[in-house]
Amino acid sequence: MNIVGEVLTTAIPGSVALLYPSLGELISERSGVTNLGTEGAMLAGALSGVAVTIATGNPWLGVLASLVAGAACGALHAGAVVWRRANQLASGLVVWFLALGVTSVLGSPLNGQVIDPLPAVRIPGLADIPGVGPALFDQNPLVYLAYVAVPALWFFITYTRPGLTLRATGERPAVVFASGSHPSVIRFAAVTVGSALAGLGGAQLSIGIVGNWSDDMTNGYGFVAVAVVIFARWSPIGVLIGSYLFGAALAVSSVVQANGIAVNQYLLDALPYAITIVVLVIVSGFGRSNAPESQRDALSETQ
Amino acid sequence: MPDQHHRTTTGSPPTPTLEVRELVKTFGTVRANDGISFTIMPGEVHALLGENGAGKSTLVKSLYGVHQPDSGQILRNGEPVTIHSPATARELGIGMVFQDMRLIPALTVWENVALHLSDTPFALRPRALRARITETSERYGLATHPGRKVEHLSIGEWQRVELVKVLLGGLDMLILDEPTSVLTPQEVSGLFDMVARLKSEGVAIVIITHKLREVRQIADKVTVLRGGRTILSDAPPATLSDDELITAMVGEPVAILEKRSTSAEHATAEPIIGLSGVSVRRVDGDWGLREVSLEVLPGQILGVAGVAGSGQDELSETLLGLRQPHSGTVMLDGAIVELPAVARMRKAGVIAVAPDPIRQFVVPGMSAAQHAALWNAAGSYSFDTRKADADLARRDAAGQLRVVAGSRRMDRLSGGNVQRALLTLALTSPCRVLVASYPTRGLDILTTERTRTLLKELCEAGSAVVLISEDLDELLTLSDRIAVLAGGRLTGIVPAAAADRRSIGELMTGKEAAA
Repeated sequence: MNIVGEVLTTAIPGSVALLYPSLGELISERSGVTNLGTEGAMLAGALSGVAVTIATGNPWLGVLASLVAGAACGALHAGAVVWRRANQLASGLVVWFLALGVTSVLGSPLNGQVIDPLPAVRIPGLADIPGVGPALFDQNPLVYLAYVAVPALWFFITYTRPGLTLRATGERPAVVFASGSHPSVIRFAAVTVGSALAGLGGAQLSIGIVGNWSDDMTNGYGFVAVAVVIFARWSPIGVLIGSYLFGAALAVSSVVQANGIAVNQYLLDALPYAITIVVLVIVSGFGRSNAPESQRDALSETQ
Repeated sequence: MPDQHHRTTTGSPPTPTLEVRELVKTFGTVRANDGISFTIMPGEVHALLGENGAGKSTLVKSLYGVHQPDSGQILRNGEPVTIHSPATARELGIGMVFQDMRLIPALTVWENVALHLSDTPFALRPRALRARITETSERYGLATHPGRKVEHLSIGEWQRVELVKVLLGGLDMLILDEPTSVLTPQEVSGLFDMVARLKSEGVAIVIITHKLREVRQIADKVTVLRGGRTILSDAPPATLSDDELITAMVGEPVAILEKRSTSAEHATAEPIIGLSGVSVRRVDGDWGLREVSLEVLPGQILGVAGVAGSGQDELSETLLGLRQPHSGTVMLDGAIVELPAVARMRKAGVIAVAPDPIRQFVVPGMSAAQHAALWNAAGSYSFDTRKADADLARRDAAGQLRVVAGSRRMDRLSGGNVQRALLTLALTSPCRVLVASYPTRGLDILTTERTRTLLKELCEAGSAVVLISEDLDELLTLSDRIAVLAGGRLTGIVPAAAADRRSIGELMTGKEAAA
């Protein structure tokens, strides 16, 4: 296998683990709610995925559990923010801390237990493309689902009525209310669904890639997801680029490490985050922002 | 499309499109609507006339399902109905265009329409919808661009989109809440053409206004509200004089300010502020002002006309010394000043009535008296609220604008009361130049006339007044000269004595004055 293929094989699964929470955060923010609890939802998804897989022996039930756990975290945040009008940033951080503590207590008996990760499904024909074929088309089904998810979400928010209503809710909820829909319901649903996707991202980490649970194993992916959405200017395509960029940087640093090049390991671990931020900051200077109007105050974004 | 199922057979009296009987709506202890009755017939233009707080908006919001009335009856085509929500109102064929227009700037025109229509399918069909929008636009003479983002539209097109959106929903009754306040005279006549077209199709139209000229122009019937009660119901305006209508609205006759006799030239007077070739960039990078040259002369009122957003705010901020021009020079008493120079302008006696008082004047949490103290505070260390309270009372006695008690918190006052407090402070302060942006916006007739009188007196006392206004009648009545802005350019400065609504309107659309 060539070097590109080698990097890609590591990069793709890691990118997908960031892509799901980013898409989830995108849905949530397009409705007008920032969810800093994304990191917490990923932890909850990662742990419940592993726990259910161990209990039932079926990793797909684990994936289902991670969706439910993520959605529960989202519902908690949405309940506080939408129905009780709590501060979005404060509530999100509390959900994260809560999930961090709870998963670390409940997960301690599972530390060190190894499960079989989701099996790779080889797509005949495509997987035989020399170089990139195995990296792109010999992966677990969550990776393939991610390929479809971006265009699907793009079509949904651009060309469907519920997608239009979602965007409008993030802009001016009063107009949506006057048009006969209920912004609170839409926001609650958007945050919950978005958070379920974050749980799925956690599952990709725990049962898609490594096949075990460890404390705080999401390593800030949830917060990177929030950053990716903002730098991607709330567009699904931008989120796609940001996520795969992050995955590529991750893979490069692990390839460097594997080849025994002497670089401080902590610096190396920080590399993907640094590269992603720098590139996205540069890129976000171009074009115009899709920042939802109701988000501008919360994020102190100026026009 | 408007339904036409109300064509009545000859002989039997037609059924009213809408009948309101003894409608009551209270907010806490305030009786906003206190037994209102009126009737709207098919194909009728019905004007609702009244001062601020008369209950016009509350009334139409009840008709559109935004509020639920406490008691009273609404009959739709003879049948009693309960209107639970705007969606119910639309199902009943009632459409409304709000004063604060309900469009989302970040979305395109067709997306806004799709959001509003109840028959939008799950998968949007942009092409079909755009064709429908174009068809309705052409039918009613409402030029729109279905594919454009709303934020890029002029305020007039914004309103046309709102109208198309409402018309596409299907209706036989249309409510317009002060539709003309943001339009150029040309746009107003376009709007009235559309109203006439709808009327000929049998649509009943309710139009809220406080402009008598418009009542005379298009209304078949007029209902006057005052203090939540109907003072006049379903009266044909032709049978009433202006004085009678104003007395019905205000409760007492009001002397309308006569047109100032203006001296065409003050050739001898030295300008206090002079701009030459001043260009200003807005925050978003567009030009706010382009190559504007004008002079502010003592003892004169310089009117500034233009469609909203044509550079009025940039002009007032430049005169106040808040902006740094991109190019051009600003002269103060014959000497060049480098802007920004707020303190220097203020010291030279330049003061302002802010265009957006709620955001630019009100300090949340502070009382009216404390605002008066802030107004006086420039340069002094002490901050004496009690003295300020007395000062506010003294200013109120001089200004006669019926300002609220000094202890009231400003951020809890209505827009009209905030404006009155600001005007009381600005118009009773000694100054050399007063830059007044939209001083009478949102004020009732009585306060409006008082404000205009104060502006006139200020000018007669030798101060220069820059009067930025959307009300052309106000500009023509008060100004010596009228400067017209269009897209940041100065399209002409004309003597008010020689100007009329039509010529100013043409300059507002960007046509340069014939040299």
